[in-house]
Amino acid sequence: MKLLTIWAVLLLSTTAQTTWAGDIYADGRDHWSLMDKSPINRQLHEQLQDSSQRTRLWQRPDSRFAFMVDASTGGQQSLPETNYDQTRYHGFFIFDSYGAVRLFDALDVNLNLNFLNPSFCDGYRKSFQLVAGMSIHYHHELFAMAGDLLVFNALLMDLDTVTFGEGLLIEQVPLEGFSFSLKWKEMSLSAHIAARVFWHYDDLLMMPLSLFNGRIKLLGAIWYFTEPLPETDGDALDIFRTSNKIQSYFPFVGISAQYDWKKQFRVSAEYLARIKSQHVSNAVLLRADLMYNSKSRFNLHLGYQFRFYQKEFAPLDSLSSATTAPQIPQRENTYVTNSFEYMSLSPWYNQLSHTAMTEVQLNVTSRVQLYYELECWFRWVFNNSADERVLYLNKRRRAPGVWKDIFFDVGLRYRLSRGLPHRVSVFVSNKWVASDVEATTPMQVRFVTEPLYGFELEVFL
Amino acid sequence: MRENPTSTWMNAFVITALLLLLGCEVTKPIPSGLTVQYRLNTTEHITRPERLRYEVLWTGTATYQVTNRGVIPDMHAPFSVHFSLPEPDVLYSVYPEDTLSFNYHYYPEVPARRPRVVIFEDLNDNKAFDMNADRMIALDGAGYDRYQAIAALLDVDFLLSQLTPDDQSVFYEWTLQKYTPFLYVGASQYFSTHLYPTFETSSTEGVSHPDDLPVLDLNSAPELIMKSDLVCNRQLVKTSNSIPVEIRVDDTLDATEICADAEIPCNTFSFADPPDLETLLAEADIATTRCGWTQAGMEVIEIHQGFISCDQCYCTYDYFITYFVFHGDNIPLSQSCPEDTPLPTSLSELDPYPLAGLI
Repeated sequence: MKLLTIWAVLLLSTTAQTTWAGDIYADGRDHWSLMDKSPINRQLHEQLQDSSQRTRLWQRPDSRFAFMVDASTGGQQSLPETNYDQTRYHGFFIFDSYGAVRLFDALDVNLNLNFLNPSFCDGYRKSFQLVAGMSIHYHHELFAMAGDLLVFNALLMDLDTVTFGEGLLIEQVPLEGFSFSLKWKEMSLSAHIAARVFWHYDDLLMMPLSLFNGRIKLLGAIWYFTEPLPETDGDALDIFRTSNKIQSYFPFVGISAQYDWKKQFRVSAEYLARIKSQHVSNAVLLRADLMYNSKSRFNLHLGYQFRFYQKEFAPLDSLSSATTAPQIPQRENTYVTNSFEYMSLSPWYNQLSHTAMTEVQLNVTSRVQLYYELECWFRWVFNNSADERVLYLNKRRRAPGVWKDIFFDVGLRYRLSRGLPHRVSVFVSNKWVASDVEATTPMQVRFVTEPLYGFELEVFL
Repeated sequence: MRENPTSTWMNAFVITALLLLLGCEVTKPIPSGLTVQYRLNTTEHITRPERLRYEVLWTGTATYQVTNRGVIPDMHAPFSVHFSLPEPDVLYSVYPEDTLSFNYHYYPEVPARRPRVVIFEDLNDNKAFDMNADRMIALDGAGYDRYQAIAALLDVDFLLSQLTPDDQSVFYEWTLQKYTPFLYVGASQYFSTHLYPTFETSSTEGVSHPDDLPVLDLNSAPELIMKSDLVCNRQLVKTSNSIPVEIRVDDTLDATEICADAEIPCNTFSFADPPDLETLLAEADIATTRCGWTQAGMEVIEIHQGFISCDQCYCTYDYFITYFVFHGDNIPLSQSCPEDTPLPTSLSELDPYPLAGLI
């Protein structure tokens, strides 16, 4: 009780913003890591004003228009004397462009056109792809209440990177849908509706009530599935009739809390329960992060995550693999430890994990940076009932069991010009995005975890 | 049974705390046996039903091991048979060396072995199957059910590791949600050793009660065939010959016209003194009948008297066929046809060769 009181006092006494990207509506990116962060497809004007974006070409805050581009080209290839060949992105280019028009102060139209070609080996421009997302963002200060403005946000339909709570259920997943929010003082009530989250026929309604600028969130969600009856499966006309569908609802409730100190230390926790007719299944996330940004010489992030997902926590009654898309290299800038990884096994097993993360960036000179990322992930997959079914997540991962994984990314970056972010990188890693021929094909596996080397030239327009 | 939400919550956190504090190792399951429901389909007369027993045998050219045996308490009701693996050297020497294809498209075949299930009347009361002393009633895979069986994978973990999680979920439907090397299989051809999982997956979804379990049929076959099949390790070659022997026409009909084109002996018989079909059928090792009508309203009954002879692993069925032709109004004789015999609507659906003159 005493600890709780101390926690509450600390929580309420701090005046710091919980995230320094708090001005971006429903920003699902993880700002407690040193990994690169792609722009998000809304509020480009605000993003361009961030100090980290000052070298972008477009620096006209008063203009109705805004744009930025992250362009890169490179490859992901096998190391000598290894069996694994190369990834789908063995010779690629990515032209990830963002454009916005602010029609008036409250209304933005945003377009993200991600042009990419994962393979120059397939034939001249043969594998060119376009992954596009459009969002209309209405953000309006409605009126003043008790001296503070009531702010309304409506966003549809590219939600871009979505995180719910602290990431126990949904964490950095690109989604489409609708989002609405009312914000007053330090609290906000939101409703995010996302379609095709992890399974073919799922939709997710997330309703967080955020208090104290997000330091405490009361969480409610309904994950629902609308599957066509087997006899109508594939019938393009009948599939849209409600009478031809089976609907299932999986409600979740919970709470999250976080405390941070000077953007250097943070602890957070989240608890969610899946409510079922007979009982509940629980999940818990505890997270601690220590960040050190010297800007000039040395950057450090130390992180720790504890996760527990009780059996049958995932919104499924039978085992069915979760899938996600699009699979593009930008998604390598997330941890392997992610709620997605726990969903497929959840109908059969309890899962508990500890993850320790370390990221270090050392600026050897004004142009040369050495960096490494390390993620140690220990998982216990177990069952406390008489059910002794064995399942192989892959050829090396047998459940029930204890799985120990280490993921790394070590490399060297060289800035092409002093003071500008454009760079060449060479690195060795065992965390590569797993993609089918088409980047938008949903994948059951997020990463290829073989040691390979990569090289990349990146420019930030 | 309704679970207490509080206790569920508590259980979860107790386990969590234990794992956090103790760093427990997770128990690794080992494959278990499988209990399967069988149903005996036989018309054989059992003099003392309490003598009816079953055995699970693993046989090969130099292999013979019994892993389970028991009494069949009620020959008219489904009964349970438990399968467990024999000694490894026995398992690996079971013949034939089957392979199982979980999915024809892209998964590798994996080795499997099929045990035998023998149903017998324990005539010498020694509670074990004796080929020479006991009467075999049914044999897994020797009758109409020869395509369906239970098979054991030599390495169930290897197969699971080759499948996606979703396909492993399908695998567990074949094993009734058990981690076991045993699963329901079928053979793709007559004595093929290429196996595939059988029964519709939908039939096992939500299996929660023993009554819902799929039941495998054990059908009777001629004892000579079953014993030969057991000795020959499913490699029994069976051939059949159909030998038309006689057409017998009711003497109230015009036999001259009916027999005009017949290439086998064609004689008359008196309906007032009909042949004893029961006796004819009883004389044979195996007997079948077929019925039909001509467009002229004449009824035809085919009597197939089958006689079996075996020479090592080659067995021959010789079917001697007698045709009885009479007027359709003579109902009593036609009642000899089993009720479930599919009746052709005309003689054209019967073998027309010896009856060409009738059509």
